[in-house]
Amino acid sequence: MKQLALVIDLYKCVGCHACAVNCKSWNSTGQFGPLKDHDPYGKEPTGVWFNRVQTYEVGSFPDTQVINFPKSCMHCADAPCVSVCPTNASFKREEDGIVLVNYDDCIGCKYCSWACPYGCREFDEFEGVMKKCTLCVDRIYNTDLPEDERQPACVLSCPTRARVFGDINDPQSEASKAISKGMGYKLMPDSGANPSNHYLPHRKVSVKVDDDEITVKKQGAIKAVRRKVDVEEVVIEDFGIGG
Amino acid sequence: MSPEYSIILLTVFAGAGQGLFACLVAGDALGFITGAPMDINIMLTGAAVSLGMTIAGVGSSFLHLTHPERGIKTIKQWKKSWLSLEAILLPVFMGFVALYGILAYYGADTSLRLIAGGLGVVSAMALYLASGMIYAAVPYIKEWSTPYTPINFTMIGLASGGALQVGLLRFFNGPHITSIVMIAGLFAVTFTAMVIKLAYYLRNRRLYQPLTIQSALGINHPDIVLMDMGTGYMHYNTKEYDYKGYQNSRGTIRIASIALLFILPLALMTFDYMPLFNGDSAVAVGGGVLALITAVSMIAGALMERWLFFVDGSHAQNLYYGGSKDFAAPNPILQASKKGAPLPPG
Repeated sequence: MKQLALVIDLYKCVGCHACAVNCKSWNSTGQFGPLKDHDPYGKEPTGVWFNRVQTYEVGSFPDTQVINFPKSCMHCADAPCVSVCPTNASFKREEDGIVLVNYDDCIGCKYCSWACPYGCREFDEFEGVMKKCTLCVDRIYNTDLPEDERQPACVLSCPTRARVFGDINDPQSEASKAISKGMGYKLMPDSGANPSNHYLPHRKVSVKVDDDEITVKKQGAIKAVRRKVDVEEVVIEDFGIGG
Repeated sequence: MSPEYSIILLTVFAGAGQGLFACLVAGDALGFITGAPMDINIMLTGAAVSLGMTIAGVGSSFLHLTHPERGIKTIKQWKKSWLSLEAILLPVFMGFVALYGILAYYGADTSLRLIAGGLGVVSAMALYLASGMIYAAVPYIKEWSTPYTPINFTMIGLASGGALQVGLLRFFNGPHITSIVMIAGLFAVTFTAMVIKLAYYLRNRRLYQPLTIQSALGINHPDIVLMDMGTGYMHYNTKEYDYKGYQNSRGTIRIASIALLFILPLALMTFDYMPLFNGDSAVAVGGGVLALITAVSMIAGALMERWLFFVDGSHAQNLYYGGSKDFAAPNPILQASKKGAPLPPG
């Protein structure tokens, strides 16, 4: 069975948020209608984003790694959000495995968002329906677009090509090749949801920093001195895949 | 989880309504067996109060939905969604309660009335199971995903409804034997409910969370800290799943809920109903006022208990925000910019 999904390379991702912005841009203007924000230019802006990029620091200072982590709907093979929906507004397409929400059937009970372990469903308070990543289903089959643009908006906008789109069940697809070549893994493999999106592991980048380049403030609070750090050696090694 | 007040009202009020009806039918059957039938006023008032409370609960649950006009579509998925089953069972239960009331009002045959009541009790029990399983079937909220959840819903619903039924029996001076049996039963149910609830709290204190931030991100390192959640302000996922309100008062609310839901009712019951066991079938002290206080105290306690049930729930997706328990780890850059202080270098 065909299963379209994204493969995201955490080593290539620079955390520019272009995928999130282009996602929001396309989905505010695409065929699914607007995606409004509350207080967009105020102090407390909030609204639905299908794709969010979070940044994590791994390790303890000064031996740390920054990992930018884009996360959107995983289009799970055993999507828990679909089975709990009382109206079948959430459904998984047979033909390509995309999980979608029928906005005309959603009653706004939010039960599907409770059932999602990844927190990838967001409630649109303006329309009162649950929304989520559509994998740009209104782009990828859109014959009005040139053929090379029939891809999700996030994939097109990624400047480092950290995102690959394709059928993960087809061993010949770009996505499957990226998974097998780059040791792609799934998030929360023991969640039982069997997510389709895969991540390629971050690899450790070692930068040698001398002791005199670090000041330790009292009471354990530490902070780096901002000065030019000469990169003496860059070691690339496997960072380890969790599970 | 953030407390959904409409759902709290639904589960508490509909739960008490179901419990009241179950106890009413039990009392009715007991009267039929012992040959000391219950007053028709008790049946009519009981059915009306039960129906009223369930309707109040359903009305409040509609406030939770943003599109209640599409509610009829929920009947489609009864095979796979507990929520759908609950939406079907609620009107079924209300129908049986109304039928029971109508049969009692027109003085229909006792066995006919008891059959309608019995079917109503079956639907009430199925409804407890369905409403409890809505929460117990979410594996990513470990506090909810346990058989304790539906059992708790059932026991607390039966106890608060039973208190209402005993209040009615006292108010209308119901048959002596029925009163004695119902009070003894209520005492046992309330006590069992307390034991189960305390066991549930103990279970949650040492809960094992199999999902970790390491498996959530797929990064095998013990120290992972969220630096930037991608947005400058809260959004749906952080608001819905990480409720930080009343954090300091939760312990007090927990003690108050146990006191109001179990301790005070048990004490009041002992005080109010002891004369009955001594063969004194006279109207209770103050004509059932103490029984009414018991019921009100139980419902107030149940509202607190349900609120705690929601806020205790910790969703697995909170792992993405720095850990399931304390995602509140302050972001130094965000904090500094909020206070107007200069940004730290970097």
